[in-house]
Amino acid sequence: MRVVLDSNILVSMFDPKDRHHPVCEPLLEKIVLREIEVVCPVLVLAETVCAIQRRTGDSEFSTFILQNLTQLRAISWNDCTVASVRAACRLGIETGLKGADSIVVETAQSLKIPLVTQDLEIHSKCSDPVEVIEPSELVDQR
Amino acid sequence: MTTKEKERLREEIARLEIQLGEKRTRLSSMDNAEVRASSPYVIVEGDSDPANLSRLRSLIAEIGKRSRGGDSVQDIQEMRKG
Repeated sequence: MRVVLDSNILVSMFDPKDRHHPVCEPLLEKIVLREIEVVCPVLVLAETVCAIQRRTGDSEFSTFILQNLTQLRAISWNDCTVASVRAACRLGIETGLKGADSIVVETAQSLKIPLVTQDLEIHSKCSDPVEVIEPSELVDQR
Repeated sequence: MTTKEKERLREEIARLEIQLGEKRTRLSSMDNAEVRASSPYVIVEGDSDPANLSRLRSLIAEIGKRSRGGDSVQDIQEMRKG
């Protein structure tokens, strides 16, 4: 199965002190063993690494996160192009999403794959253009 | 150009972007070979190897020692508010 992961999922997965870590941690094994394939806009990489840095204040370990995320073969990073941002703008105009949210949702929409996020605003505004699911739904899939 | 042709082009662009991302990932993997070899917290070649899972879990444990914790949904929402 191929999905887009939102930044909040990756941050929760990598930080055991995060409130949502228990529900996101099981995704790690699925990603490493390539039971799921992940596509993310590069924005998610920056948000994840910066969030971990802000929480830990430890640049060495934030760099390890950066290296691992860019080396995991199960994760493909999509560049934000003028075309993709234009499509995200159209989506933002239709739904009222925040700019960065619209880039993440547009990635799922253009690839016609589900978006995994815990952000309730995205769930409420985007269940029509894309399939938006919770991490627990992905963990439960065999 | 018809709507169908535009849609086909968009799909082709999305497919090529994924391929490009995979190639970049492989290049990055080669660039970082020395760092990987020297750190117990960074995955090694053949990243579906279960040994990498334990490397990542070790890294997560170390992050847990350093993190102040929080709610990722709120943190990312804050970041996106600018």
